[in-house]
Amino acid sequence: MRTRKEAVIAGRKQRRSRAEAVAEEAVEPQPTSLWGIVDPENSVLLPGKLDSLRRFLLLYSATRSCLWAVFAADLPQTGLALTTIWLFGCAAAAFLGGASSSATARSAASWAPAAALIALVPQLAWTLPFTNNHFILEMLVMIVLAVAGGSRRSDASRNAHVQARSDGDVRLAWRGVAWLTLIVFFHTGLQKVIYGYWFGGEFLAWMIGNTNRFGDLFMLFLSGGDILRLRAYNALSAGTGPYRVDSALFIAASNLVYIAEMALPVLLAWPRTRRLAAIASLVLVFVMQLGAREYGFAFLFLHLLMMFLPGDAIRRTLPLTAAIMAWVIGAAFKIFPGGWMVDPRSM
Amino acid sequence: MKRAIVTAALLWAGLWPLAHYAIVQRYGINPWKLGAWAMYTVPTPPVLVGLFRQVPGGFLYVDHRKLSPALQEQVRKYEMQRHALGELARPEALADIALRELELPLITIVVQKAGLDLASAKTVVLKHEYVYERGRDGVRLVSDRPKLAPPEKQATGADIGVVPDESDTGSQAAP
Repeated sequence: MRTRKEAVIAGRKQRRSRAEAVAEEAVEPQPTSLWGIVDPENSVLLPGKLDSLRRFLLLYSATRSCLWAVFAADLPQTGLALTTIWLFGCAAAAFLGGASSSATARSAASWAPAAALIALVPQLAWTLPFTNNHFILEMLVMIVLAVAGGSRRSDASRNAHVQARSDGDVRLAWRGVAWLTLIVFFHTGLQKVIYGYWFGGEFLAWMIGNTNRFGDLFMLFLSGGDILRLRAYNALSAGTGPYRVDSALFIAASNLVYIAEMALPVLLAWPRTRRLAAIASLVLVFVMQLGAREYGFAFLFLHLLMMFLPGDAIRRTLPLTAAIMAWVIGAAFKIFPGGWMVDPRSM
Repeated sequence: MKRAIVTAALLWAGLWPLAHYAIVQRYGINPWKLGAWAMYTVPTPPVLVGLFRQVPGGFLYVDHRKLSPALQEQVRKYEMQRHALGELARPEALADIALRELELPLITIVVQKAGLDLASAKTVVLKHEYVYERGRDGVRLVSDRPKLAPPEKQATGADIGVVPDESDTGSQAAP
């Protein structure tokens, strides 16, 4: 006959094994489901990768907000200053809490994205309908991290049931961020197909003729005569054009852009091709955004793509990222040189 | 609950662009704006807005540079709103201020938007003409007329069949 003490111990063991089973179920990837196809082969790194993304995103938000406060005269300056301070506070909580052994500090770090939304919601309201799409992407990723990315996995003080819930949250956050990245990436290509201005290179020809964007990148495929002709047109006059060129290379490059933007997300989702697709995507986005001079979008999207690389690439580059952010802020305030490179419209 | 919020965010990111496309086609909103991931899909030159006063036999262009700073600012703001929201942004507020400041019974606001015609790869200029008058309860829309500008015309007050007092393209909205 079991003593009362033995019965309590047996009951605890039974509860623990049930919770562990739940935990294993939450951790095991589900390769057969479309929702789970984006899961990495090794899920052990997931909590760390999400922590790194959380730190980057909060630092990015604070820096972007700071630039808005400096340059965006049309927006409420006091509100922007207050929300910028708030976002820097959230970023500090994420950095300090993530590295701390204190449970309170770690909890503050996990709540930082939710707290950041308190600043991002009014910023969205102030900027509509002129809001940049990358701000909307920033906000969507922040929402996913706020609702699902709150817990760290490696916490010995937790019991198995809480651990299982935490692992489920981590997986949900990863899938949310990964699918969001893939959907946005795919849509950037699909929209080019729907509107149809990339098939004959018309959009790029117009941009080269009338703006300083894309010229450095795609002029390589054009003759001097074509460049002069495109630049002579007045975009505000009816009947000017045609914004077409004969260069087959230029037209091929134009078509390759949307094909890559639609194919790479599919290859990123597929585990076998993910690593190569991640590298190709990073190169494509880096080169394209260099041409478009959308440094804010480039910074954000490159980091989202880095999540698909094996290992914790964001953590490794975080010191460099922080240094670039510090320079951007310093240059905006004219403390550091190179302010001409900081384009407030691109953030 | 958490999964529902994440799913909602993903559905929004995936499905909103389709609805957005329909709104672009119907109201001419800027494809680059409102989070549909359609940046760099079409050229979006600035929108120009001109004010015209009624004179015997036609309309007279009101030189943008001669407007008060407040009215110039209102024109600039409307150009930006129109650039983003297309026909969803109507010029009632601008008409109200312009009628008061210029002390007119009637004002014509012309919105000029350039674009690229895909078939010919040449620019086309679309104009939208709004006529407002001062009513008892504020401004009242008298007529609202979109039209296509003839080719080979410059973007000035002259190309909508009116007599400008000076050649001017009006103020320009930020691209």
